[in-house]
Amino acid sequence: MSPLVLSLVIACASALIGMPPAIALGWVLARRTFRGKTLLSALVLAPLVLPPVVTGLLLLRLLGRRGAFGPVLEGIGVSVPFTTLGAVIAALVVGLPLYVIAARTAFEGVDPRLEEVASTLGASPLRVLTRITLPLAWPGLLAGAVLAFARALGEFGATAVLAGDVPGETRTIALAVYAALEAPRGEPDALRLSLLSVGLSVLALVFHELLLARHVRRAGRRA
Amino acid sequence: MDVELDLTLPIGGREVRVALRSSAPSIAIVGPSGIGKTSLLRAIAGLSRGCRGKVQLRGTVLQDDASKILVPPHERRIGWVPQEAHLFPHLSVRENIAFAARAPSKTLDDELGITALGITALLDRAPSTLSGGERQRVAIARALACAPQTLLLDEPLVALDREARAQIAERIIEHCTTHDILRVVVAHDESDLTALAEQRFEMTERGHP
Repeated sequence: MSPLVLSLVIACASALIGMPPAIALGWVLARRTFRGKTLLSALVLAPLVLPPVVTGLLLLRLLGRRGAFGPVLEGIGVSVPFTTLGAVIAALVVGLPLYVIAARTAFEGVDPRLEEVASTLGASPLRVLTRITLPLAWPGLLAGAVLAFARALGEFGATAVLAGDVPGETRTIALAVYAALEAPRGEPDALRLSLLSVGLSVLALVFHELLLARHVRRAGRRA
Repeated sequence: MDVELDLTLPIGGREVRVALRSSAPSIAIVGPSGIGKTSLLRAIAGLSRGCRGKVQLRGTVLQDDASKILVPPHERRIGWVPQEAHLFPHLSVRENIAFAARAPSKTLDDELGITALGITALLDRAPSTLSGGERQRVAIARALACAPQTLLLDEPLVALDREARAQIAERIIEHCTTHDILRVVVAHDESDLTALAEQRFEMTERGHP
């Protein structure tokens, strides 16, 4: 696969796979009070401030062949290092904090009194979640997915450590730019890929802004 | 006893004790603003986390800390009409009412008197396009649609004009009488209270209504 296609595939996959955990964590952080919430929040946000290379190294220690879960993964025939799966995992983990923050904000934007009214009308907690909370938070959740997608497009450090630079497998646009810069007279190629990267990212962020504006309009509507 | 309450409510950093027994089919809670009337309604609905004590309506125990009974809000068969209607903004008026309906197939109009509530023309509109009075009417229809055994009304007529008040109050009373629904009303306006409730209890600084 070309770096462009590979970037899009990895970014889409990480945004999709990251959705359930991001929504669950965002909801828990927005709506629940419990001991250890601050620690959970800090752990989820850590990849945002850690050098991506460090995140990549920690992931390698967990999921690499000699990592903590390496033998288990090998037992079920799953290989993470130097594979597209590894690149997806790296992008997912690095993008998750932004995703969770967006989901948390989306849930916090839903008036809890609407959920209360729904419950007095006989709706079970699950029905309240699926019919009231999720539909109202949806534009914000989707904005989070787009942000995670955009972050995944730009991911370099963790991917390089966990998944390496395998053309066709893990060489995304970011890694291809680096490879081009390393190659003799590769700068024009690097520049071309960089422009592509800028275009894609701006496009994703514009879409993100549009979704966010819609969420603000929707949540701000008093009824 | 139709209503039996013995509750300690946390209100704005202090604790308020409410003890009330009544056999009337409709009661009003009156008292100065900020005293905790809305908090009391929330506690009856099961929405107040920190409240302790006992709630019994029409012989059904909804909360009794001594026996470790706490029925969750969605199983209480209570229709709550909050002061600000709190309609679901992503659903049309019709969908708001249908959300509450226990039997979705029943004809809304016959059962609830949509016409009498004056919302027939609003059914396909979004809540954000409604006036305050219209929202209030829809909130009342929605609460009635869930076939409640008890109706909690928090300033239900306040957003309506004079003429509409009498009409809506009449409709509420008619529906409650037909379906044997207990009413607990919070209102400031004298005539609203007289219209909607037969017995009144005053919440005072000591907290005993």
